[in-house]
Amino acid sequence: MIHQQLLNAIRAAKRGDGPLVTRRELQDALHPRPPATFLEKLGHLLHGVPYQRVLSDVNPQSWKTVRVGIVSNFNCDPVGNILRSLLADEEISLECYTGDYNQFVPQLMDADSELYRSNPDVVLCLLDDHYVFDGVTDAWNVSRLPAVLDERMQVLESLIRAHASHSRALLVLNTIPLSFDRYGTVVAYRSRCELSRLWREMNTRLLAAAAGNEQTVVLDSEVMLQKCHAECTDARLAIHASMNMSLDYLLPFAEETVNVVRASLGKSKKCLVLDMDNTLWGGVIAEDGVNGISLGHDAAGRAYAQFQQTAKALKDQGVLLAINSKNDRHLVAQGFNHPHMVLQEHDFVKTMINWLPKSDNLREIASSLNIGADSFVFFDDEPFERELVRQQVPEVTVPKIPRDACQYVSTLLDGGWFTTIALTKEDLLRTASYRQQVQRTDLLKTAVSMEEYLHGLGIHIAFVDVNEFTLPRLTQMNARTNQFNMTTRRFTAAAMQMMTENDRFDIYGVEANDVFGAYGLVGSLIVEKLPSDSGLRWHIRNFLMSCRVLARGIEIAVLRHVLADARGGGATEVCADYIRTEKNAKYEKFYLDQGFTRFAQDGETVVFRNDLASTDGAIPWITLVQQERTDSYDRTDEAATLHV
Amino acid sequence: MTELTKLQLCMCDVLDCDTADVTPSTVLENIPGWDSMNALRLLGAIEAHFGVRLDLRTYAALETVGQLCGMVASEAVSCGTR
Repeated sequence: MIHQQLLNAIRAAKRGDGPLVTRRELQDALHPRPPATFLEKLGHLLHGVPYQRVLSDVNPQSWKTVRVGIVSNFNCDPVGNILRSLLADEEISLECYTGDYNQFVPQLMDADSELYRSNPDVVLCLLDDHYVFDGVTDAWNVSRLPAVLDERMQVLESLIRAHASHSRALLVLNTIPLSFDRYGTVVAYRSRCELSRLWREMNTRLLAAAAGNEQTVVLDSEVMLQKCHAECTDARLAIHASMNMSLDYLLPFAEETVNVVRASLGKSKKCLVLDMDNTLWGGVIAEDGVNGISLGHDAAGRAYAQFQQTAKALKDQGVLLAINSKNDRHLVAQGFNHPHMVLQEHDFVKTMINWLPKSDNLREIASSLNIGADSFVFFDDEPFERELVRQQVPEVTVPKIPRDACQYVSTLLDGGWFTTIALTKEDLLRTASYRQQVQRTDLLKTAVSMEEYLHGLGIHIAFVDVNEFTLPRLTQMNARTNQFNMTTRRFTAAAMQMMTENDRFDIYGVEANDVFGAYGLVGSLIVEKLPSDSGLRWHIRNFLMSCRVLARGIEIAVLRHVLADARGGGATEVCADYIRTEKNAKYEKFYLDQGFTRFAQDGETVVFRNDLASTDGAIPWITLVQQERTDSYDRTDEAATLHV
Repeated sequence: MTELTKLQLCMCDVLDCDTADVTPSTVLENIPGWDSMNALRLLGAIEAHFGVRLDLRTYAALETVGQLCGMVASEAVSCGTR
């Protein structure tokens, strides 16, 4: 009923004779996951409609647009519509190109194809086993297959290479599922074993081709199938319309594509905020005592222990964990000492253990970590608490939690909120570095003056060598940073690589540390060198700094260093782009404060200019550690971890 | 509610049209928004709504709304859902 109501409401809003649909109504219709037919229908209704026409709380600053190209050997027309619905829930607007039936080879191979001309950010190429078996007349004869599979894989390997040379988009492929009909046509079990073996070898080869190419991701169809709760193929649609995968089987692929899109736009969630009673353990510690809670020693207890294991695994891969619990600290301390407690105090970057409203606590966590509440996932078993947060802090993702703790792990993972494209060193150290941040804040509280605090930090910065170790981390930082990001231009790994190989571009990466520890990579700046009326222009195409290190003068020191390099490199002027967003708006005067003037406006891009006439000095409390900067992409040791 | 009315409501739901756009004499191909994807969506909706299973070849050969209604009605009888 709720689904039909939403469709009617959207229709009415489109016609202009109904109220706009709220974000809340959209969320409630999409969680728990509705049938794929509904998602397809909803996406169809939303096609070509500006979201302000149908949704009430559209903030243009937080909505992003993504271009996805979909190609296949079969007809997967519905995928674009399913994607549209799922992405609308994430405040992402979809522009979708869907290739004609079975045109994936020319669309990927030809540099001037419709696919590439649509300028996609992500390309989804779905294949089913018709790609392998079409035209093979005696496919039951397994001994014929190695030659066939080899040829098919060679084609896919060329397509992967072609895509990488024609486009900067991420390419999402799938391992090819083996249909029961093909398998069942082979009557001998020993032959079926051989078929299965050859099939896995083929898919292994596809996965290896993707491993060798950073622009490529392969989804595991066997794993996707586990999320398909109905038949994977509707034979009538397959035969009459070449729709070889049913809507229900296409849905998990669409959901994974949404995760990939979210990650590539820098919108992955960063922090998991956990309740404790009946979330990390069964029972209420204030009532049951630490010996009475259920954790690890009975079936229910195992469910909670597994949930903690999963949360810890996420934390070890860069997700921040925080606690938001109505409890007393001394009881929580006892809880941490429970023999089966997996998560320990040091695994959390912030613990709000008090009797204040949980919504207030969430805002406090956001402000203390200096990340937006829209990057939080709040996991709490209490419907009252969840509803409070949904109303008071609506930008937080609040999944519905099942009553049975056995389902906690799948609830946490199903949303794919924390997925990323590739892991970096920053991911592995994130919790430790955020905890150090808390120590720095404590120093601030005890220092007499700001100057005393800044000198007390003993900040050292160094510019890193741009090489195969640092480039992925620079790429990830470019994708994730939203606040001090002058343009929010997202560059794929391939685009960054292209810039390192082109003398016209310089990429600066900055590491920093202080007496409390290393911050790691904290900022980057991309310069494009162009001829100009006055001679040579260094044009800063993007400048970003991690929010962990702002307000310490590091960004000023970096900019001054680049200006000095520009002078040394014969530049006559330095220009810098600024594109205002909701998140970077407070830095719109940054370049002006650093001696630039407003120079031009090109659409939404403001260009500032510095004529290099005056030289500002070094920042007194920041020490620049000189390293030899090489622009060659050779195998040097990873840029120095600074020792204090 | 007659079978025709039920079918009309189902069609309006899928095709985003008014009841006036789907009279018995209306040619299916002429309905605004009629395309192969919508034809398939309508098939799925009819099967779910009326509890019937329609032969795709016969369905694809139908010309008018009236003929569609007739096909659905006779399937419903033979399925015993009427």
